[in-house]
This record gives sequence, C-alpha cells and structure tokens, in this order.
Amino acid sequence: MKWLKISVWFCLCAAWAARAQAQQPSTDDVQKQIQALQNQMQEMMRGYQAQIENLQKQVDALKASHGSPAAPARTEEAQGSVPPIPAAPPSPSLQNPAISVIPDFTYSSGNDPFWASQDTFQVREVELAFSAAIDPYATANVFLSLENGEFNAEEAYGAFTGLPGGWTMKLGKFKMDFGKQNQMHTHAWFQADQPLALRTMLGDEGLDDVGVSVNHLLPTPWMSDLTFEVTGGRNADVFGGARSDLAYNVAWRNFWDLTENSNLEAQLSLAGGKNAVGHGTGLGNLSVTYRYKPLSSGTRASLLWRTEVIRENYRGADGLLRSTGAFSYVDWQFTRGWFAGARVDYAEHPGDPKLHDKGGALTLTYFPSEFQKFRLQYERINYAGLGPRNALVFEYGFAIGPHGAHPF
Amino acid sequence: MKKYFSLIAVFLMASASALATEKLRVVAVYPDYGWLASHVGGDHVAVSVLAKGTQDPHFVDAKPSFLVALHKADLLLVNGLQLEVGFLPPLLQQCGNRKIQPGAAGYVDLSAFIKPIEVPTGGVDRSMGDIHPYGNPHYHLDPRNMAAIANGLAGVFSAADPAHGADYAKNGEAVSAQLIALDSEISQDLAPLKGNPVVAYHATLDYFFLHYGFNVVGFVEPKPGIKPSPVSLTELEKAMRDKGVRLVIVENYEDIKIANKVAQDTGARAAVIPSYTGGAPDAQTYTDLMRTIAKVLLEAARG
Repeated sequence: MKWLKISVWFCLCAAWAARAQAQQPSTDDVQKQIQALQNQMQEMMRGYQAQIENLQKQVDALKASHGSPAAPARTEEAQGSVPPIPAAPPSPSLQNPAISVIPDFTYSSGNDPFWASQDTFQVREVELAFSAAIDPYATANVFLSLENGEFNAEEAYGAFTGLPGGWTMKLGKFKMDFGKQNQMHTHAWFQADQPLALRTMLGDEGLDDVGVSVNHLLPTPWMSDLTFEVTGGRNADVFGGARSDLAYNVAWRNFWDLTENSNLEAQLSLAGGKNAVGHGTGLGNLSVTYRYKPLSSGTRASLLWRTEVIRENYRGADGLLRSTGAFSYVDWQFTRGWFAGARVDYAEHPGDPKLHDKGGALTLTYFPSEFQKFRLQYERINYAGLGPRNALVFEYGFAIGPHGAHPF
Repeated sequence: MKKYFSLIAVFLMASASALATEKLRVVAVYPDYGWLASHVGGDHVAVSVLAKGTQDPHFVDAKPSFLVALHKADLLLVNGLQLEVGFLPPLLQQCGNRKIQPGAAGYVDLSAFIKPIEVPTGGVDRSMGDIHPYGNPHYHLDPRNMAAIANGLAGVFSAADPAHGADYAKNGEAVSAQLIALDSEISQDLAPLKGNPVVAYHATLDYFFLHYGFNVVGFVEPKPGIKPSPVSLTELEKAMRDKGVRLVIVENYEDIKIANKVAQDTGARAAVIPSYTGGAPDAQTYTDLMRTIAKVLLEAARG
C-alpha cells in the first residue's frame, strides 16, 4: 500500500514537471519580454524625468521669485584640480553681532607738549566695534573706546536705512558730519594724531554728540546730499550751553568722478549752538578731497589729498572771537602696502585768535595686510609762546574681527 | 471747470503712460552681471554697473557717486559670497533705498543660483589669508554658472515686472543656450591644454580651471590676498620645476611683474588675462571675455 502511494505521488510530480516544462517559453520569447519590459521602464523613466524637471523648474521659478533661487545640482565631475583649502574649527560666534577689537599703540619721544603729556609707550586706545541688524528696520553700530582705563561710547546709534521718501537716519551718539576728518575713528587717521586745527578748535574728541541725523540725496546730475543734525550740544569746547540749548549742523556734500581713476569731493558744513557762557557759537568747515587711484594698477598705487578749513565764531562775555584753522595732507601709496604722507597745520587759538600754532608732519606707513599697520611719524609744530617743538612717533595698530569698511 | 478736468485727465493719462513704459532699474555690482541683466531684461530694463572690469573686484571703493544709481534701483544684483563685504555695506546704509536692502526682494544674491566650490568645512580665520567663508566667489568664469544665473534672473525680473514675464523667460532661455554653446566652444578650444599643470596668481579662475581641466599646482599669493614673499616664491618655483609647470596665469589688475619674474625663473610663460567683462579692449562682452581668456592661454601655452 505504501509503495502504491509513493508511485502515485511520483507520477503526479512527474506529470506536473512535464507540464511545467511544456509551458516554458523559448529564449527568443524571453528576450522579447525583457525588451518590452525595458521599453516600458524607459518610457516610465522618461515620464518621471520630465515630471521631475518640470517640478524642478517650478520650484526654481518660485524660489527665484522670492529672491532665494535654488542652486542647480552639479552632477558632472570636475576635470581639473585646485589645491585644497585649509580647514579650521567651526566658529562659535554665528549668532553674535559682528565684533571687532582695534587697539592702537604708540611710542613717542621729543619735546612736543601734546606727545610729552602722554606715556612714552602707551595703549592709546582700544576700540570695540559691534554691529548687527536690530530688526528689518534698523542696524546698530556701537563703537566703544577704552582710553586711559575708561570706556567711552565713541559712537552708538541705530541707523535707519529704509525710511519713506528715501531718507536715512541715525539716532543715538555719533560723530557729527562736520568735515571728513571729524568723522574718522583713530585707527583710520592718515597720521598718528588729529590735525592741529581739530584738536585745538574742536577738542580731543571732535564734534560728537547725542542726537538725530537725517540725510537725503539731492536730485542733481552729480552726487550731492544734505545732512541735518540736531544734538544735545554737550561738546564743552565749543557748545556746552544750558540743558535745553541744542546744537545744529547742516552738511552739503558733493562728489564728482573726474575720470575713471580720479574723483573730487567737496563738503560744506555749518554748525551752531549755545556756548558755556550762554552766547552763540558758529562753526563752518569747508572740506575738499581729491583722490587718484588707477583701477588696473597691479601695484595699487594711489594718492589722496585732503584740505579742510575751519572757522569758528565764538561770542564770549568780551564780544565776538573769530578764529581760523586749516590743514592739508597728502597720502601717497607708492607700492602695495606702503604709504608716504605729509601734513601742514595751522590753528588760531579760539580764546585768543591773535595766537596761532603752525607746523606739519611726515609719515611713512606700512600695511602688511588690510588689518594691521606700522607707522613712523616725525612732527614739528611751532607753538605760540613756546616755539618749535618736535616729536617722533611710532604707531602700531591692528584689527581683529569683521570690522567693515568705513564710509568713503 | 471743464478745462481743468481735461488738463487733470491728460496729466493722469501721461503719468499712467510714463509708469507703464518705465523700465526696471537694475544695478549690478560687477559688469559680467550687468551684461547678463541687459540680455535677459532686453528693452524692459535699465542697467547700471558699479565696478569696472579693469579693477580688482575685492577692492572696489565705496564711492558716493554709486549712491545715485543705488538710490533709484529696483533691483540690486550682488555677487555674494562676501566678495562685496569691503564696500557695499556702507553704500547700502547711505543710499536711502529700502527696496534693495539685504533681506528685501530687490536684493538679489546671484550666488544662490550656483553651487559654490571651496566652501570651508570648518570655520575660517585670517591666518589663512583672505578666505571667503562661504566659498570661492569668482564663479562667473564658468559659463554654466552664468547660464544658471540667466535663467534665475528671468524669474527675478518676472517677479518684479510680471507684465513682461514672457519676454524675460524667452530671453533667459536664449541667453542660457548661448552660454552653454559658448561653454562647448571654449571646452573644444582648450582641449589641448587639458591636464596641464599651471600656477595662478589668485584663486580667481578656480571654477574655470576645474571645469576645463587644468591642474593648479599653486598660487603666486602664498595665501589668498597676501603679498608673496621671497621665501614663498622660492617654494613656489621649486614646486613648479618639480611638476613641470609651463604656464603662470595672472589677472591684469594684479602685480604682473612678480608673475613675470616667477615665469622667467622657471622657464614658464606668463599669461596676463582680463577676468571681468570690460577688463580689456577685446573683452567688452562676457562672451568676448571668455574667448579672450581661452585665446591668451592657448597662445601662452604654444609659446
């Protein structure tokens, strides 16, 4: 019985195998089927590819219309090679404001009273610069200056760049738009010290104060703009009236491209306010700057020539005192990184315009990169009542951090 | 009374007509993108360019005269990848135009259309020289990037001026096709130089070198933006001799004397090239710029 069952099962299996064998297609049939499947697959792939490309185009167009278009995927392998760039640890300061530290060191010798009153070696200033967008409407710029162990807010203002009607505005403490030199920070000076006229007539810090400054371009064929400023008038050297006495400044700036390589800038500034004795002080500044910079010069040669004349009308208890100051300097870049300069100075004493100081300075400055400088300066000033005085100054400064460009 | 109404109607119609025919005011920081914007925008755009093709793109002065164009601009086309970081921020702060401030629709960062190379994997600091933390910013010397930007600009212009969207799309495709054809032409022309070891002054042409198959052995600048020293030049010249470099490529706004000396010391030839549109008399358009670069390289390689 057992053998009968085995035989039946064997026969059934053999029959099934024979049937399966009979049903198997030939090699040609298989190839045809594979070909058909391949065709189907390719057709589907083409369809999907077209759909993907279409969708990608739509995505790109959408992103482009929102100002953040997609980068096209680059699938092709590069054929050439360039040296690899070095890597450094990730920066931990991604979410912070842009912070820069800009120290300025000097060594001075000689009998010039301005330099003799300072330490031979000194950290003259450490500037801390912070900037960041406050929100979509304004940008913050804060420049703290550490001098003689004290922090001073050299500038700290919000800059509004998107006001209606094309106006811009600064609100806070800022260097007033009174000539070009007055607005420069210590590390950006073309010499190791301020021109005599500024420090004699406007004081060590120049005209900087808390208030509001608004600016608008004029509809002229050349670049021209007007700046209006109202401040608290707390500069003790020229204003310093009562709490309610404000100071005002208006600046008219003009700029012309003379050629592709040269340009001329002229600015007239007029400021006024009440002084410490309760009378009026009026100030005027005429600033002219010529720049020459061949665009295609491999050596980066350039020349800057700036002249400013300052006039002060100070009405004191004894009547009106009129004083004048002026300076003119050139800064010539004769090869990459190297600058030679000269400055002439003249300044009448605001309290006694019959007295005046005059002199000049020669400078040689080397910038190994944009971020550090070495400067040697010889200065000779003939002070009223003192006679000629000399100073030899070595200055070293550097900037770390992303401190951006200053206004031109 | 009727007369006044007529006058007002005429004034309103004239104003409407003026508005309708007013062109999209586009400011491009660099001339290559000005060329692209003019071709994609056609008659519907008025294009101004800030920098000149003859100058070093890293050291453009923030001249106040730029403010006039920026003040009126509807769109500002920037290279991005921090190439303009030294001069554009103070201009934007002074121009009194909120339409083109970073983050606004009119501030168009063209680097968003391309895939940057040489993006540092970690942080960067200035001990590495003037490295751009978001990648090499000189992407315009690969025509495929310019083709991608042409298509992107068509979208940007259409969004700003939908009435002429069809024209922008058509122009964008045409310029893109022209640039792809230019790329094929340059590829064929430069095929004999493929695989050649070269030295460049700065990393301005890295996109170009990678695409067209040059092998850059080193740079005249020891680090980006850093002036070469006698020691760095000696090392470079040794590497050039070891690797058989016969070509020193220098942008025409760099210190050509140094490049010539390096070439002379090593028996190589210096190829002085314009690297931006308008950078040489025979490179007044982008297509001419690319052809001029290819021609100068071929002539220098042939000796």
